[in-house]
Amino acid sequence: MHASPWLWFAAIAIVSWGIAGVLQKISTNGITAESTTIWVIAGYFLIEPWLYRSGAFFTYPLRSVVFLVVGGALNGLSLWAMMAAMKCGGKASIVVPFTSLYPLVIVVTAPILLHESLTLLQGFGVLCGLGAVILLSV
Amino acid sequence: MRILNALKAKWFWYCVLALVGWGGWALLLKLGSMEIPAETAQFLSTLGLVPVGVGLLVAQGFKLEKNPAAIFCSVLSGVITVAGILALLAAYRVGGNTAIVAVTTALYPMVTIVLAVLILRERLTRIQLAGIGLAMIAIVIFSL
Repeated sequence: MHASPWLWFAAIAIVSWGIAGVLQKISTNGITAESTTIWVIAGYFLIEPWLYRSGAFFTYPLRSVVFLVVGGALNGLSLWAMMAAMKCGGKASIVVPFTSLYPLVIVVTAPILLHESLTLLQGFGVLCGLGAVILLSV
Repeated sequence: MRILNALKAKWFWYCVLALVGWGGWALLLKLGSMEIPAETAQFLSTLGLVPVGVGLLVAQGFKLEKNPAAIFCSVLSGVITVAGILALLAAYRVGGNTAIVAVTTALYPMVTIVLAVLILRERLTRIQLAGIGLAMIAIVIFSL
């Protein structure tokens, strides 16, 4: 089986986020979900010096910069909303699969905004993937 | 009736907010990284977390629990998450279809569950096993 390069990068993301999930689970055993979120955000900032390229921001299109900053804010807002859902009585077994279905937004919007389409087989793969996300979180 | 009750519950709408928010995050990350290198894209995206972090700190009254092990795990998970986001950006950049990449990377609970079984001695349910099987089918289809 010859995997496309993107699949290898996706595998790194799967393993990284999988490990992060366990660490967050261990963490919330010791401190509150809010504190965990704050420290996770601190972890994000720990990497910032290595990602910084001096002065380069002015050379990039403002529209792309705004997309990324707003995207980051949405990431933080979603983290908070998921924890708020659990705090308001939502069971983890329902909240986690529910929120893990976020690729649905991409599946619906990508053909319109990015003009990308799926083959029938890829569509079946997407259904399997979304089904797997639900089953894995139950 | 259960659906109606769920629609009235606050937690349901928080879930909708999280779902739409992460969907928007993944989409904006793709759009923003089309003209900006991955490292800079992630640098800018992290800046967007500032208002959320400050908001949570204010809500907590600037009080944080002192549990070094838990803090270490949280910070490490943040660092590892960034590594995952950089890999996601690389997957986008090498031409992966946005919807397929998003669905594939959302399979990460598979790894969490396996690690929870190995490290935390949690039990794997039959449904979760079926989920891992379905995830494998999806990955094989995407690799074709």
